[in-house]
Amino acid sequence: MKTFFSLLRKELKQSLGFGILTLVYVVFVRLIPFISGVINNLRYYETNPTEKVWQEIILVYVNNAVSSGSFTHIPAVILPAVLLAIVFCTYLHSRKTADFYNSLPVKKTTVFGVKYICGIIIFVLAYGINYIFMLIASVSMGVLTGKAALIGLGCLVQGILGFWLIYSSCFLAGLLTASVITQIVMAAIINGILPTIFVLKTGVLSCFYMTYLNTSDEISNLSPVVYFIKSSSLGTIKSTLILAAASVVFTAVCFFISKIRPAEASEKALAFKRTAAPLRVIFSFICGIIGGFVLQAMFDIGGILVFAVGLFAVTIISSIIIEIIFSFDFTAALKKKRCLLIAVIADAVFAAVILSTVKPYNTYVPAAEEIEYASICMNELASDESYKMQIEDVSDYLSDRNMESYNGEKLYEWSWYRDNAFDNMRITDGELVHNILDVFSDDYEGVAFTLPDVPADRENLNSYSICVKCVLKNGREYYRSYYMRLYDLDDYVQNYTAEEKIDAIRTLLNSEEYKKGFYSNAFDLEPEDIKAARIANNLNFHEDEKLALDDEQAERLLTAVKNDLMNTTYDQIVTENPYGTLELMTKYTEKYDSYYIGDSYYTGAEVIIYSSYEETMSVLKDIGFKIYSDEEIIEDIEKITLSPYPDENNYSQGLSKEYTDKTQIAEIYYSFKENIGRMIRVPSENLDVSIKSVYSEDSGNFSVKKPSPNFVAEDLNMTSSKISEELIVESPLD
Amino acid sequence: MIKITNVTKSFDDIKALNNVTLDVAEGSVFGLIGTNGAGKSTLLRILSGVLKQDEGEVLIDGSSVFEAPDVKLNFFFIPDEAYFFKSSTPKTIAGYYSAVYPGFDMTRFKSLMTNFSLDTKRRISTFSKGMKKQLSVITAICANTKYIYCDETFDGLDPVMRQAVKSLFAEEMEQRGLTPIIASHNLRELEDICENIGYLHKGGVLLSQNVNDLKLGICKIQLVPKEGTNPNEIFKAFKTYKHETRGNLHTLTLKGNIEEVEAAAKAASPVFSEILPLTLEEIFISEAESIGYSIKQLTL
Repeated sequence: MKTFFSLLRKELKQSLGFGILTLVYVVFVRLIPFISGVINNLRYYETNPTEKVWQEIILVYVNNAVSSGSFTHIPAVILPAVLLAIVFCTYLHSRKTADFYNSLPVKKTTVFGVKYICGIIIFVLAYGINYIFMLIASVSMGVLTGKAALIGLGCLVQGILGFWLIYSSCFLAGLLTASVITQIVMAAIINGILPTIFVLKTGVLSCFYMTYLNTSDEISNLSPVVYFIKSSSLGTIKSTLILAAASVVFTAVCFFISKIRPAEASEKALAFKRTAAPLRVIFSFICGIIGGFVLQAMFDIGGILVFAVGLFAVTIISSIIIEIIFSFDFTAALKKKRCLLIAVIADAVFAAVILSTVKPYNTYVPAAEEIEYASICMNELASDESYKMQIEDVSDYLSDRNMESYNGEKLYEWSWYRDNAFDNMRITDGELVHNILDVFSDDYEGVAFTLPDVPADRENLNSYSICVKCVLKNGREYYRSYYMRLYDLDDYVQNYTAEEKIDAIRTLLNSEEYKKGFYSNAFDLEPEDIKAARIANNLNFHEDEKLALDDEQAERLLTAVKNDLMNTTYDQIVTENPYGTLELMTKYTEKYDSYYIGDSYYTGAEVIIYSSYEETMSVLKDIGFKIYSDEEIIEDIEKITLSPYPDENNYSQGLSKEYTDKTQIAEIYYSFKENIGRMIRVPSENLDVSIKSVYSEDSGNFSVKKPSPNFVAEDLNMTSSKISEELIVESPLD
Repeated sequence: MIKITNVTKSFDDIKALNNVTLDVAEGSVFGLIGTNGAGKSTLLRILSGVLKQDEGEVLIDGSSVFEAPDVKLNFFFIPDEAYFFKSSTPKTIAGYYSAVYPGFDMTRFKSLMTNFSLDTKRRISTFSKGMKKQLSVITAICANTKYIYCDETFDGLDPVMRQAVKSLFAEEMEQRGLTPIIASHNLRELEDICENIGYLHKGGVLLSQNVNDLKLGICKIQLVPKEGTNPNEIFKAFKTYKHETRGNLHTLTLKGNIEEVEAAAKAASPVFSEILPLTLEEIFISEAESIGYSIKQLTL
């Protein structure tokens, strides 16, 4: 023990330079942003201080200053962990140092312990000093509270634990290898192999639209780096304990490996001969799969064949590359033929599994009795991307912005109702789901991609991309993206006509379960959550209006909104133009538009409201909101400027016309009122509309479906000859 | 005493040591000779506990050395390329060694550094190769261990320094019974210091013997025989390792003791005869050839 501490002192002395560099680095990426963030917010909140809000902001910055704050994970914690592990592992990688340390009358584990702990001490000291600097800065700026200091200390501990975990995983990589390059590769394997499997699972889904059994997303947490990055969302105590436990396990493994690691491993690629073959196989196999997916995604057609070509080709190439890295010798490229053969056989097995399980499910439509529930989301724009990837993106987006503030109170995230809906929708009517899926999949086997013989313009007409997630009773999940055309094709025999498809959509949108899911952000609210409401008019030329609500008003409004939403019909949606957006604002929004934390605004539930929402409109008027009638809107419009949308060559026609006559304004208003927000996919049919009202100069652009009234068409020289007859398609929504 | 018994060590497909058996007696200088790639460094690394042998046994004073810090206290290993901490000075290095070798004599260290004109506060990275070697030797001496393993340590030292180091070793041997094991491919530099020699070739031991005993068995004679006399006839009773002729002058390297060879020469009444001293190199070449290795294979 005496020798250990003696050597540790000497090692720390020798590493003083690294220590100073680490401290300077930590101050640069943590303390300086903290100080500048607090100063910026000090200025902002000088005039409207709200103590509670201010304290929340400070806590955010304190957390970011000492721990795992959002995007600063990588430079602030992960990078030092990796670099320090590399620095303190170099003694294993050189023959000179191996001879030196192994010939000393000191145990190998003692030398390892000294090196290992030295890196941790450097980081802890740097962050500890940074914490003290942060406290001093906070005091000098007058923002320090006991709570902030304590929370900062907690965050510091978590940050150190996160460092320890990643550092130990990288140190393990250094013990298993014998050069910097292979150490980095090994660290990537240790941290990446399980998340890679998770990504591969997702990749398989996105490429082949397969059904699959439920698997745990937690597999991604088995990577130290991924776990650390996500740990802030798991709750402090739990994540802290897991970080600590995992770090202890990794350290114990490091200790064991240091004991058995042979000295002659220095200056080779891998320290243990026996790990070389399995690593070769795993690495080239995984690279092959990734290569297969990349190739398939790039070419996007004939998925399985392209995937197979990429799979085998990249396996071979990566096997060659790994051989060159391991041997530092280009001539050894195909030295380990057996490992390559095993990897290729693994590829073949994998491809066979895909073929046998994935392909049959491409056209599979579950029977009604097989369905547990479904979520269905329809997008305005055509997309042939994987449905699952879209939903995963959305789910990740939502889960990252967790619904808790730092003191555990619930916040509501601003979100498009559509995205939120998808996550919460549960349509349990099996018959309904089966029928709708049957209709959706009628179009070219139901797999979402465009038909190659359809002109580019036409394919965007009156078609919808639909994403479906279907959970089956056997535990499998079924994901599909559909690209459904709502018109009849002459050259393709379909089971359902366009009208029948519209009927199917109508049935779906009228379903109570669908509506409850679709508007779930509103249905999940309780009256006591709502503190204020805001209305944004669709035309955007009235200022948003917001009012605080008392409990009784909140309850009335929420009830009215829920009733009107539940009574909304498909025909209402497709024929009526929304009045605007109603935002039901939740806590921390008493005085502000939104509560700002980091880079996010926290508001409440946002729903589209229609003039026909009688109950809602009545309550809003009672509360004191100004609900504008068409006549009032027209009265407020001073000028409308219309310009033809740039033509297909993206070349503006250069014409525009201003209208100030109230009669003309009224005619124009009524002609486009129902189509505001409906982007027509034939660009030449659109007009840019700019409105100057008593409230604002320019309320933005919207589209006009057809050039009407007639005087507009004449004024803008938009005769029918300008519009290609081929491109005019009557929308079945008319 | 160091006992090396049937030690074998391979690195992947390369057999660095093959069934090596050697004994190193205490209190004498042991020279480990061999060509490049013979296995000298590997053997020293096994002796110092850096490597573990695949087969066989290595005992230092009766104890196995691998992963035995207590046993490692008995020796100091000077590798062919010594490692020094970055930006360190001799003082730093001495401080480090004093932490791991309890018997490290700091006073002696400072004194030797002065004697060798080396600055203890100068960065080692600015030292020449020879100066680094000197520093290694000084730290080894000051560690006060029983054995010192030197891997081609004399290589890089100038003749004056080489002699100084030899004197230092001699002094330590006399005072405290130090046993240096010196690995080298240069027989000439070990000529006057080694008492025992172990010769490695391609991982195996070619011979291991006391130098004096080696010399006793071989001698070199130069003579001008009387007219009509054939030197091969004169010395037909002896095995001839080498026979060089320059005119009438014959130089023969013979297996046999000096007295017998002298007597045989005298009996032939040569015009001139003289026993010449043999270098270690000549002895080795002769012995090696006798076992079947020609000079082309050995390339000393």
